[in-house]
Formats: sequence, structure tokens, C-alpha cells
Amino acid sequence: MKEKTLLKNIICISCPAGCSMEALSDGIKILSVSGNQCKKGIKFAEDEIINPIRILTTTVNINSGIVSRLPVRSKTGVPKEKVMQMAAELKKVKAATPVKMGDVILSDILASGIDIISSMSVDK
Amino acid sequence: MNKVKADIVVIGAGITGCAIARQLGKYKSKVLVIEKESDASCGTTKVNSGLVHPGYAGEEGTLRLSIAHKGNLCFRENAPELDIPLKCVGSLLAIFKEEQMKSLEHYMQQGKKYGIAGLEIIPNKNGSLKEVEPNISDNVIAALYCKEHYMTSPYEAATGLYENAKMNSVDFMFSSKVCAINYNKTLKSFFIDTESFDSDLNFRVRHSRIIEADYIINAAGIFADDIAAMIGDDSFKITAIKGQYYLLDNEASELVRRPVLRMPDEDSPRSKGMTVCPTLGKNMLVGSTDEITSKNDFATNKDVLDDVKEKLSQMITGIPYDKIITSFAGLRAVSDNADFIISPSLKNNKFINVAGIQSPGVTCCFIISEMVIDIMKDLNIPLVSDSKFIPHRKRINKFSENTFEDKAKLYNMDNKYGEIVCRCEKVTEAEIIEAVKRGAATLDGIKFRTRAGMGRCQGGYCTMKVMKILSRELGLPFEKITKCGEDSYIAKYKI
Amino acid sequence: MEKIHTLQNIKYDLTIIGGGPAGMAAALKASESGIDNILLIERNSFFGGILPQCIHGGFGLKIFNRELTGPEYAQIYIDKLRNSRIKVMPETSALSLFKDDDFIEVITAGKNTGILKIKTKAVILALGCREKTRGQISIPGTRPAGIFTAGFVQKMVNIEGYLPGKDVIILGSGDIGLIMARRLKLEGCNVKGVYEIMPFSTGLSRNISQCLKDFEIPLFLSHTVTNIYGEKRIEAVEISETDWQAGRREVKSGFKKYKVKCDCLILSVGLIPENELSKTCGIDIDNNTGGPLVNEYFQTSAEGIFACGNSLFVNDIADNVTEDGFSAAASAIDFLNKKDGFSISSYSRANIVPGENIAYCVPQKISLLKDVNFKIRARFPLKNALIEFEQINFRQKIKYVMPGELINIKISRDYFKNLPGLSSDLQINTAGSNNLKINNSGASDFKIQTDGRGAVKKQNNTEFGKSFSKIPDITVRIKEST
Repeated sequence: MKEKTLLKNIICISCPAGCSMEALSDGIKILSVSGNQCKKGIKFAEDEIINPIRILTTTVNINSGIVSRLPVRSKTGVPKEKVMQMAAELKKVKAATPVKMGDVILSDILASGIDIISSMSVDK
Repeated sequence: MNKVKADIVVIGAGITGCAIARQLGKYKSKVLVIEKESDASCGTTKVNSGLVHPGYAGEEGTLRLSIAHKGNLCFRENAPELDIPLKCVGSLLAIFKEEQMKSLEHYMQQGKKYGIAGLEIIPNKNGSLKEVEPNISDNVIAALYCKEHYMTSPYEAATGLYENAKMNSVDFMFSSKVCAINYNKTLKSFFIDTESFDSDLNFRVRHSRIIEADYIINAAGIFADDIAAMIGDDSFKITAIKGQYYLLDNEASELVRRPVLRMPDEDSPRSKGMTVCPTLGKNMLVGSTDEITSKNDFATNKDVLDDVKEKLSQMITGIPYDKIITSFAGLRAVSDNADFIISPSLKNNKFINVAGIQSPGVTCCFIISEMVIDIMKDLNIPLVSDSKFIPHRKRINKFSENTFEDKAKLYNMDNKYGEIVCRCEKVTEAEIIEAVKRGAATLDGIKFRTRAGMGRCQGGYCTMKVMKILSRELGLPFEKITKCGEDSYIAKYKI
Repeated sequence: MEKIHTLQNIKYDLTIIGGGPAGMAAALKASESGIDNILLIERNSFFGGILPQCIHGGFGLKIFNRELTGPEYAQIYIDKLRNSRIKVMPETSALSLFKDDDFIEVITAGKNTGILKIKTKAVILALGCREKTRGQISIPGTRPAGIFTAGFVQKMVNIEGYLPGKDVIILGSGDIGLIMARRLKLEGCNVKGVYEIMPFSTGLSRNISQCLKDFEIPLFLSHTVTNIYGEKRIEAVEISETDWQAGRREVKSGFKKYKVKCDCLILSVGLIPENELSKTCGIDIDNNTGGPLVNEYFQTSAEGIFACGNSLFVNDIADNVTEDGFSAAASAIDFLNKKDGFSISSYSRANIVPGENIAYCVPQKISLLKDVNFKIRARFPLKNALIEFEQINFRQKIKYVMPGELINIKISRDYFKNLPGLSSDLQINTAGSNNLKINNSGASDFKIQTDGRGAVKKQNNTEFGKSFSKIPDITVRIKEST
């Protein structure tokens, strides 16, 4: 018989509502979730137990005459524990102009399968 | 080791030192001003109400009182040629108890003795005082009205003096703290050592250069006694007395029509008491206080400022404390006998002390400088008039003070007058560049010359823009720009 | 380059001041609706307002159903702006507003645009907001370098690429403080802690989680900074515990104060709507919001001048700011087309007065002509709360009331029929027309008055509030649900 644990105070970060949820887990998967106001909460609770992910946002150096930094983001969530490492990795990057919002600045960062893309368009 | 030689060295570039420097600029002597801060008027001078007092208040028999009214007249006479802003505002000195009436009468007599016109005691009866000052509280039983009270901007005054001194070949050496003075009896000159803060090493470092001077004028403010001690003169001691103020938003500018002063509770040998005081910049000063403290204590204290609120609320109704922009503290230099010390040192008459210059220091800056010249002439110190002396100096043309048409003219002359850098005070890039040309090298230097950063957002919008301009004009990396010299960095580390 | 002097013949139908999300939305909506002659003034060289420095996510969830970063959200509208026929003037600051009977005059200054006098028929103010400073909250102590507001640091880090220090203390647990805690940690700073004067955090709970918990940054509730040390550069702060008592914040006596070393103090202690320009024109300001008094049409006390975005009240979510920008533009368009309901007489038929546990409620004036979307901010958190608009008998239950989250309440026009005094003065046409039949003559005399020099005469709030004296003020409050 698998051990059931009740996890409390999971704050969903999927939207500004920030529902405070509780989830029942058997250590491998989520059995039930309460406190969520939409489906995103369930997905979030599941991810949070098994593989917590976060959207990484930071800035990188850019070769531009009009801006000093380029804001970038991970296209999708990255493993939470890799966030600081990835931020450090991005310090080595220097983006080139022109760049459009959505352009890949660094693909497959730290072999995670996730691309880092530009949040902004810069002409020169 | 490199040597710098000057005929006369002035120690301290506050209002007193700058006034003396400017006065000395009228002569051919080589003059050097040594200042420990990164700019002029960084000490007591900038934390000041800027009132040019009429001269009725003070203790009988003191030098402070005897020159006060003359100082007022002298300031009014000299300010225009230096384009120092000056406005006749008048004042009210308020009392709360019947026993204080004799003080008002005493001041009235004293004022008349010194030739001050327009003095009148107005009782708070039948609305006569309220007519003159609508927000005066009913706690005030009477007030001494004085017409001859003027208002200037203390740092603009010091800047005017400093710039004109420079125009007349006076040299200024900033970020140089005098740490030793030796008198050479053979050469009959002083040798001055200075030090400054090395921000890379993170401690004070003595300079290798030495300054040689025939005469020294000690205008070192709260440190005047420390400087005098360097030549063995321990005849006076300076006590630092802290004054704390609130600054209210210019939305409060309708609160009072003129400075309203509060009669001190008991006889104070120190400065004037508390005041609700409009400024030329339209913000309102509320304060100050007096606490004896150490010479490096510039902190504001909650209980002291709460006391300011309480006392002044009893004098003026409706002070909008929700409109506070900031609060600050300054240190008055007060001598043992609470009087000005303007005389050659008994240890060495080539060393002239100009110490204990508390209120009315700003008022008397011109007259004190004239007195110093008189002292020097009495001592047969050679002073030859310089026919090339340039008496006039113009302040920076402030975009915000111009009409629409004149603003457009300024723009047509220089399109940087179109770039608004400080949105609260409407300061343009052109003015900031001009301030750099005139000696500003820090954020405070720009602030006190242009008002950028003095408004209600306290630099939130303009700071980085000003830093970029400083960086570009001075050729310094952005991260090396400071608020006020030494290690006061803003954008400390580049990512 | 041609030197521009005074140009009296610069005329626009609609001038929008501020090119952030509110201004861009307003400009785009007006342009889409067929207004040809639109001017958008922006003081920065870039558009987007505060968004380009908000590199974190959480934007666009409502409008685009996606999680976007601030710059991405801004870029969408910037691209639309580029493809429109809206005349834009970046690097241009508006210096003053002047309202006459026939037009509104805006004086601007710009390095490349010159000093201009622009005549316009309608203005939308989208000026954004600024941050509360150390001086305004009177933290005692010295005044060294190293004390910054959170938005200022955000700009320094994200736009300029510099760090303000390495050992950081953050005062204030509002969202900006929390976001910057994470940001600085990510850039290698030692974020020693976030200190919050209240016993609750004013930021979104998801930010406590993803900014503080994720990075093990401690949060100290009921603590504040009571002294600052350092001569030219900050060296340490003094932290004291606070004792919240029915609205009065007191430092707990007997509790040990302690010093924390730092080289940087970041303040996230409040935002204030920017209204210096509005004040040059005598527009009535609400002391609760810090922004103009408006009705549900975003109409200020000066006819033809509308306000939206953070300049009206501090918003939480950019998507809502965009929608308000659209709405303000719709009102401006109706005004330009001289639709009914825009004479100043209908500006304010009833006042909304904040009562218990209400920090502010917008709009503060209502015309009684349509349904109203109220935006309300509470002072204190409350569970199982009831929001009540007393005089119209409107009540709504709210499970969780948090000061950090604006409450949206939609009240249908029908509710206003409950107002006492209404039937004798007004009849609401229930057939659905927007017209109100007005019995009370003299109401149309209610014209905006200028003082001869052109500045709008400063009117008391009551002047605009008492257009129909028999209609009482409507009090809104939040209380416990019984």
C-alpha cells in the first residue's frame, strides 16, 4: 500500500490569482488537488511535485546602438533547480542586431531542450 | 614630491570660504582654496534656510549682532552683480506667552538701534495678524513683523561666489582634507599636507604633494578648531549643533506668505529657533532644531522631527505633513562664546581664523569677507588691486523660469534646451551640461546648481539620465559616477 | 534641421499624453475607430512605459490568454503603433495643459520636436505613476548613496545593465520589491531579506512563492527600517519590529532593535499616480488615489480631458490598464462626436464616498447613465467579506479581500434607481436609451469656468458633486459578512 502524503500551501503561479492549493500525492503522482479555481492549477500542482518548472527571465548583453541590454525569456518552463545555473550561462551570451521578439538567442540551454528567446525587437 | 605654491590659502569652500575667495579675487595675489569635499558648499552651507536676516536678534556685545544688519545691507548690495537670487519676503517672529512680549520689544529696540526699518509688533487680535498671515494659529498671541527680511538660496549664493572667484583666477582644490600644517620660520611660510579618500583602496591616503602658503585663512566650519590646533592654536573650541528640517512639496507653498519664526522657548545663544519658511525653489522648509552632537553626526532622528511637527503645528495651522518630500540635518559651527571669531591667531598672525560662523553666516558672508581684507591690510599683508577683476557673473539660465517665447529662443540656440531631464523641476540637458562646465562632477553638484533631483520624486526619474550626461561630459565610466564624491557610487557594478 | 519656434497651427483632434500601455491602447482604439488626427506624446525614446523594464512574466493572461513578459506585451502594441497612422512624438515632454472653452492647449518640449504649443479638442492623460521615496516616509538616519526605490533599481539592472550593490535589504513586500528580490538574486547579489511593516504582505501570493520561497529569501512581516547608517555610502540599517494597532503603526517597545549590514537599501513602499501635468490645468484630484476624480467615462473635472492607466489609480494588471485605455478612448471618441452624456452637467450626478476598509474606489463620480465597473482597493485583508454600496442597496460577497489585489465590481444601472431623491429630479428611461430626462432646470448651466488667464478655476469637489443636491453620496464599504 503506497504512502499517501498531503502537501499543503502550494501557491499556484499560473496566473495572478495565486490560488493556495493542497494536493494529495502517493509519491509518484497526484491523486487529488483542492483549492484551485481552474485546470491550470491541477497541472501546476502535478508539475510542482514531480518536476517543478519556472519561466526564466533575465537580460543578456547585446550589440546595439540603442539599447544596452536585451530582455530574454525561456520559451517554456525550465527545471526550477537549473534556474541559477542557466542565468549564469546566459552571461556569456552577446546577442546581435537586428533581433525580433521571439528570435532564439540561445537554443537548447544546458541541454534542457528549451530555447531562450528574445522578449523585444531591436532594429540596430 | 610635487609642491604647489600660493600666496594665500583659504581652508574651506563653504559660503564663508567662497566669499573670502571671491573678495581675494579682487587682488593680484595667488589664492588657493582647499576643500575636503568634492565640491563647494557641501557642508553646513547647503543645509540652511537661506534667510538673509535683518539683524535685530542677537546678544548685546557680540560681534554677530554688531555686524548683522550691515551684513544684510552688504548682501543686498553685492548679490545682484553675482546674479545671486534674492527676494524681499519680510518675516514674522511669533510669540505664545505674554512673558515673551518683552523679548519682542527688546528686538524692536535693538532693531531700531541698528537702523532696521519696517519693524512692527502685530497682536493677534481682531484678525489683524490673520490678515497678514491667514494660517497663523490662535496660540500665537503676537508677532514681530520685519520688512527687511530677505531670502536667498544658500548654495546658489556659494556657487555664485565660487564661480566668480574662479573667473578671477582663484584656484580650488577639492577632495583634499588638510591633515597637517607646519610653519617654516626661515622661509616664513606654511606647509600644508592634505589627504583624500581613495575609493579603489577604500581608505584615506595622504597626498604626495605639499602646499606652500604665505598666509592661511581658516574658514573650515565645524572643523575650524581642528585646523587651528594644527598650528598650536587651541584658543577656541567648535561645538557641532545639529539642526533638522522637513522639506514640504511646493504644493504647500501657499501655507505661509513669508517666513514665520518661532520665538525660542528659553534664551538660546545659538541660532534662531524654528521656522516655517518658504524657499525660492517653492518647497517649504519646516524646522530646525538644536542638539549638541559630534562633528560627524548628520543623522535625522524621529523624536526630534516629531517635536518639530508638534511645535510648529502650534504656530501655523494645517501644515500638510502628508506632503513631506524629505528631511535632512546640518551641523552649525558654534564657538565657546557662541560668537564669530574673526581675527588673526595669537600663535601666528599670518593665520587668520574665521570661525564659529553660525547664523547669521549667510547674511554676513560679504561683510565678513570685507572684514578679513581689512584685517589683512592692518597686518600689512601685501594686497595689490587687480584692474582685470571681473565683478560680474551670470547664473545658469533656467529653462523653467522662461516664458514660452523665451523657451523657444533657448531651444533655437541649443536644442538641448528641449530635452527635459528632471521632470519635477523641468531642468534641461543644456543646463546640466553648463553645470558640468562650471565645475559639477557629481550628482549633488548637478543638483545644487540646477535643481535636478530636488523635486518630489527626489531623483527617481532623472538620476540615471544625469549620470549618463556626467559620464559622457567627464569621460568617466557610468559606474564611477558618485552622488557626492568618495565611495558614494550609484550603479556600483556593471553586469 | 529646420528650427521649430512657436507653431500655433498645430492641431490635433485627440492628444494622448504618455506612451505606456494605457496611452498606446487609447491611441490604437481611437485610430481604429476612425479618428484621423491623433497625437501620442512620450517622454522616453521608446514606447511601453514601465513595461520594457518589467522583464518578468504575468502579462497578457487576460487579453491574449498567454503568459507574456512585460517587453513582449509592450512589443505587441508597439508593432501595432508602427503600422498605424497615429502621429507619435517620442523624446517629448508635456510641460503644461491649459483648457479654454473651445480647445485644450498642450505645451511640449523635445530635443528633436522643439518647443510647441499644440491645440487639441480632447486629451487623454496616461502619465503613469511614480514611486514613494525614502524622504516621503521619513526613515530617520543619514542620507548616504545606496538607497533606491525598487523601480529605479529595476531600470538600472534591466535597461542599463548595472547593479546597485551586492548586499541588499528590501523594505516593502509589494510586487515590485518581490520581483526585484528574485532579479537581484539571479544576478548574484546577496539579498538578505524582505522587510514588511504590515503583518501581511501586499504582494501577490504567487510572487511570495516564486520570488522569495524559491530562492530562500526570508520575509519578515511586521518589521521596518528605523535608522540608516553610513556617511557617503550606506553601511547598515536598523530593523525594528512593528506593532499594528487599528491603523497606527508603532514600533514595539521593549523589542530589540537590530542592525543589519548592507550596501544597498531598496524601497518598495508605494506608488503614486503621476499628476503634475493634470494639476497645471486645475483638474480635481482625489486624495485617496492621488489621481484625478473621474466618472465612469474616465472623464475628469475638465471637459474633454480623460485619464486612464496608473495615472488614474495604481493598477495591478497591465491587461486591465489596456482595457481602460480602450474605454477612455471610446469616451473621447463619443465626446469628439458630441454624443449625449458628455456635457459637464452629467459628469457627476452622484458621488461615491469610500467608507470602512476602502483605500479607494474608482470612478468617484457617476453619471447614472450606464452600468459601472468599479475598481476598489481595500485597506486590510479580510476573509468572508461583504462589499456594500449602501444607498443603492447593493451587496456582494467576496471570499478573500487582499489589499494587493484590486476588486472589480460591476453594478448595473438599474441599481441606481434605488437612490432616494432620484425620482423627483430624474427619470431614467427604462427603454434602454442613454438619455436621462432632466427635470431640474439650470443643470445645463454647469459650465467649466476659466479664471480669465485661461487656467481652469479651481473648483471644490462639492461644486461638482452637488449638481443635484437631493441625490445623496453613495458610501461603499467592506465589512465582515454575517
